[in-house]
Amino acid sequence: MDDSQDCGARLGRRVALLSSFLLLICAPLWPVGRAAVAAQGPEGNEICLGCHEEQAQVFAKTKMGWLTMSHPRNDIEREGCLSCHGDGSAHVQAGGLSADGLVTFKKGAEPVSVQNEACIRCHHGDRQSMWKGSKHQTSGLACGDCHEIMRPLPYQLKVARLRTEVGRKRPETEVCLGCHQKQRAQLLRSSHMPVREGKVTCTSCHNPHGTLGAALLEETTVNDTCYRCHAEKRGPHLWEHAPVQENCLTCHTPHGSIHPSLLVAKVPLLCQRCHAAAGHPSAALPAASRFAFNRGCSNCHAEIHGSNHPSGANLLR
Amino acid sequence: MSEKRKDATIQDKAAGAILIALLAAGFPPSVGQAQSDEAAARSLGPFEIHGSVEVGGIPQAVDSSSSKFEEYRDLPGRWPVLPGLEVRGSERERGYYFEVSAEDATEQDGRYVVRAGEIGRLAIEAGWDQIPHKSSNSARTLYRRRGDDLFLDDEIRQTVSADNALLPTVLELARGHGLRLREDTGWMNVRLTPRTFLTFRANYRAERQRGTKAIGTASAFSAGAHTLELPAPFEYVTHTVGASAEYATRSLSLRAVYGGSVFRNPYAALEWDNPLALEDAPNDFSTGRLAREPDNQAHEFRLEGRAAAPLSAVMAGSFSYGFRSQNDDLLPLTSNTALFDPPLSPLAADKLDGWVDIINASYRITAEPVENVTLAGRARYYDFGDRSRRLAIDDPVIGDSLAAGDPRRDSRFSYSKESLGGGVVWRPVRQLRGGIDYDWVRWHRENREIKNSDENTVRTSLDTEPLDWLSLGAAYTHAIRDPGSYEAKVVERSFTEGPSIEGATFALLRKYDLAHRERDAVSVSLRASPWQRLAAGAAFELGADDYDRSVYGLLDDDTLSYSFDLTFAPSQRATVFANYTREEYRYNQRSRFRPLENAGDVQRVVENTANDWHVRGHDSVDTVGVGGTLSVVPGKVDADLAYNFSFGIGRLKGGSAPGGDLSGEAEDYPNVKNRLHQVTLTLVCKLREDVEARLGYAFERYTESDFATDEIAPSMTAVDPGSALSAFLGARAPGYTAHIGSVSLKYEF
Repeated sequence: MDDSQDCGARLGRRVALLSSFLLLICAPLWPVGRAAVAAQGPEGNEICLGCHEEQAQVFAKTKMGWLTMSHPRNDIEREGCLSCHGDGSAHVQAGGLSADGLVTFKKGAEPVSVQNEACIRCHHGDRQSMWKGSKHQTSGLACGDCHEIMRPLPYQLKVARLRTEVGRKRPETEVCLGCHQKQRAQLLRSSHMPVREGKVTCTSCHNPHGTLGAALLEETTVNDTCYRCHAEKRGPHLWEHAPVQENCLTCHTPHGSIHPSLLVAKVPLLCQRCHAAAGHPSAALPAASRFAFNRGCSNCHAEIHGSNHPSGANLLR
Repeated sequence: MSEKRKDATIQDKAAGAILIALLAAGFPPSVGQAQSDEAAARSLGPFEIHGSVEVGGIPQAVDSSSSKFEEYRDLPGRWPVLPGLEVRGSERERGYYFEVSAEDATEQDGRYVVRAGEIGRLAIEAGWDQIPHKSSNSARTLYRRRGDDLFLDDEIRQTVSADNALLPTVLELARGHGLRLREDTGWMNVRLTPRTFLTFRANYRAERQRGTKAIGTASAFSAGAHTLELPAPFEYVTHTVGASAEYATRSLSLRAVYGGSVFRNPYAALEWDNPLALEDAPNDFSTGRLAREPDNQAHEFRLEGRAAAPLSAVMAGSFSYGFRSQNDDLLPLTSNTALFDPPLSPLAADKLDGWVDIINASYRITAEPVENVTLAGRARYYDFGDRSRRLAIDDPVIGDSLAAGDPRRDSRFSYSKESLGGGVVWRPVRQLRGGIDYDWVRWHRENREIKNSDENTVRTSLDTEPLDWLSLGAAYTHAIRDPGSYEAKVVERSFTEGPSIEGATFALLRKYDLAHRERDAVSVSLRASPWQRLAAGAAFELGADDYDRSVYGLLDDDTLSYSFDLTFAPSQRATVFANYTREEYRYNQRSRFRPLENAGDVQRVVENTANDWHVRGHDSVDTVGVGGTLSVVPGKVDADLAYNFSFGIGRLKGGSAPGGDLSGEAEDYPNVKNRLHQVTLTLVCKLREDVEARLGYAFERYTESDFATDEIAPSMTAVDPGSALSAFLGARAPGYTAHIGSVSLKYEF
């Protein structure tokens, strides 16, 4: 068995072991509250179904539909259609000709806060717990701007323009890029993360529902976000490169660059913004020199993110 | 048989078997037919089964072997391939479900996910994802791999070490060595919701990156540094675990979270033969040694919550403590035995005992004390305390070749950051919203040029919706970062006896991440949808960073971007769209060539303003996208066409003070250009209610011109005679033109 197979097998064993461990931990919690589930449909639903059966049939196929239409777990879900749409009595009395009292989710039909409140009644925990006060909330985004609620997967995220790249679809990314046009352009640059290939998505780094950190990042800091995939740069090292420990964005731009390695500017000039020690770092280096072509300064200073070699003070080893 | 080829063969067989099975069966009855006969409904025990399978091929023609074509993807140019497979099972009575899906299962960039659970109660997800990353297909090297290390054939080594001048000639014998990696990630997530207000989560993720990457090294300092670029094998494995418990109601939520990450690198060091020296010598080494990224781990414990308060206020806060540690064995000072006489002072410790404490506390409050007025407040404290051992190195060696002569002690760069801010948003009428925000940030740093710095930021914004279909927004930000006094020579503190060259540090230079900065930013955006079939938008952003007290270093950098986008549906059957974005980045930086001269027994720096030089950079990128969708035959044939174009130019113009040394004369660099054209056309024909044929065509043309790599080759003597004793990999990722087709049949059940 060669190295790769061996390592693959080890990795597989670890995943299997941990999966079993997690299942064992969770198993005792499984029956909790299970008896409370009642397979009953909210009575009010039947009035709605009289006119809206087609929508209800589609909605029932969703997980949310299954819960609110037939298997409620709590009082809100027991309200059925009304749990989201509010009091429909005026609507019913008007024979469906008036939407008074109803919460609808068409853009502009209701204030965004009213529409979102209907969602937050249930979705106030987990990834949505920091919604209030978040960038997207204060910018007036409605949940329905991104989510299609009453259709089964994979349509729950709205896709303004479904673009295919020979069989590949990036629905989640397309939703974000619908507004973030600058990022759409940056992702097409020569140096990029595999977002346009569909291997990394916006939510790999960001939580659009809100966080307490900057730029809706999932992690506390920019660096912690980068270390998710680049843990080898985390250190601590014997010899640190100080700005590296503070912020990866001092040198890199994450959404795309025309310079290699997502750098904000061309090396060696990027390095020379901060380094002008006597000798070659201070020289105006010609393009046709080994200080400028290929990898620039890191032709020699390879350990630019930090070195753990006792003779690595200059990040050469 | 290579590993990749073997995998591909197995995957081919699987895809082929599915295709043959489908064709042999002539496809089972369609859903429509099946619905007419309830007995034919697909079920597996209590589960109702649905899903789809897509089988096809990807014929292609590519005019180059550029790694750029498959930088992060695998387009095998063969068939059958299995772009998609999905099986979903649901049990409607109890809400049990499962989903099995595979994307691109026959390729190196496949993704496989299994989900199972009980609706509203339990969700389990396990998956496997593969990302190939090809950096270059053109790299060539004289080195071979032996375990963790790289060695040269004896004949080559003896020839070159006997006559170093033969290196450029011998480099012509360099063999191809692809620079690529594959990232494999396996994960398992469990979410349990025993009550609607109680959620437990547990997750585990294992990621392995394995392959070969380029590493630059330097040698032979006494005769002028030479570069040896090496194809270094690497394998990074990161295990990430997490667990959380959350109690959440509308008015209150509390969450306890643990996250841990363990990084393992089996390669502690990289050793390589030096082609220029067969034996160790005081000014050169026979075998070089470099430390690889050390094993490390990070753990975090976090408590966070949210609570409703009077005046429609919501408070949210988070407190976390985390630590990072690293304790790999330190390598010896050098691999060069010729530097052992007299013996080098031993290291005071054989490990760093690396330890960083991280504390973070964040708080945010949002309130609506009166109708249409929202107040917000926020505060944050972040402390990065590097408690690692400070280790004095008495006899460091530069590049395994030269005793540095300057004893050094590592600097630990601890820092903390405090911020406080708040704002008010007033909406006097529904169509108008104005806001003002203020933030103050203070940094405290250890062992950096700036100890304390303050940044004050004011941001104002105005958003209006004068008409139901029109919204306009504008914002202006002004920020001043005041770092106080700048101690340029702080770096010299790491020299335990002071640096041997006095004044080596340029005292007038200001590092841009620390320097005094005045920042202005303006943004304007517009969205309009005058009627339901038309949506248009425009955005404009201007940013100006002025390092107004810097005389050397980065002096200013400005960004400009504007974009337009339009979507129009001329009929219910067709949609067209277009977008354009222009981004510009301009900057000025200034420096001074500071040569060394011998003054008796010591070297000293020559300061001469005639050696001042500056560079003006100007990067611009234009991006265009146009396309549309058309329902050619409603419900039967759909078409999707898109064209994207990205054109980036990087310009660098140099200038110098009159007179001065040659090395102080900055020249213009050749422009860097890269262009990407991308056309995709997809046609989906519904052959039956449950069978569709998908035809796709993509055209891609990528061109690149970059002085850094255009002429790169193992020997660069022709470009830079000074690199006659250097060896590079010649790694390029040049342009390509590709025509890619896709033909597939998708069957839904």
